[in-house]
Amino acid sequence: MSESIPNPGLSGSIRGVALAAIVEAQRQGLAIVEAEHVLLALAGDRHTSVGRFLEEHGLDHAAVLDALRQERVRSLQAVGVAPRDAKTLSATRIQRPRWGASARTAFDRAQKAASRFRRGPHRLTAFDLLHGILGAELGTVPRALAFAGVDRRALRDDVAARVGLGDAPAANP
Amino acid sequence: MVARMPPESQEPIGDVADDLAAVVALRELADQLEDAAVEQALRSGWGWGQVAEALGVTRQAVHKKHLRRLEQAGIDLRRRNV
Repeated sequence: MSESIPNPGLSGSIRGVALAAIVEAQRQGLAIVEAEHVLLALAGDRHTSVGRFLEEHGLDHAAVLDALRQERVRSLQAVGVAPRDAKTLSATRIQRPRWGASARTAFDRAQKAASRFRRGPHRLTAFDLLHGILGAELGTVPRALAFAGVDRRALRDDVAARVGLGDAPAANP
Repeated sequence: MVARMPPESQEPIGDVADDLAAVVALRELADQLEDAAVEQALRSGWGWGQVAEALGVTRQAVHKKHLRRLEQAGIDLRRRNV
């Protein structure tokens, strides 16, 4: 499934996050929605408890965006490539981005954690999703957070404590 | 048969991780740059064949990848047989 959201049983609020993540990828002119775009979507809404949680931890939308930009700049510089001004990369894009591996993995991790630690019918929450995103040990999000001086594991523990996923590592493949 | 040990955990920043991250960043940059450069070329009067030759791909390939997008951009793509 490359076009639709990874899980068919998503609640309205998580669907909203997914749509916001698509918009984040489109804003950057990208054809693939990755975990970093889901993180930006979560940080982008201060009216939600997860948005406020991220803001309280120094990760409002602007801070996440800056951390991600720094990660790309450093990654390019590591191989001697200077980043381009975003204005020189603007182009008409009409296709809806498809879901990338890191976003799918974040949704999968979030769903497993939610299933494991809750009784009865359960649906993903935004905190489950944040927990799933922070479960990645490698890749763009952990690099961006590390460059920004954020302790990803401690942040993930805070999320786990917030949603009662205290033993969540067992649900992290 | 050689028994394989589970891989050690790796840190997201370091020599190998930096090279792998550079691959991701370069791919992303190349995709964005191709979209922008092809659009700019056609806005500047280049033909599909010229764009394809410059990119080192077939005319069919560049046409398939970019035609719909550039039609939507409002670029007059008639008489672009060069």
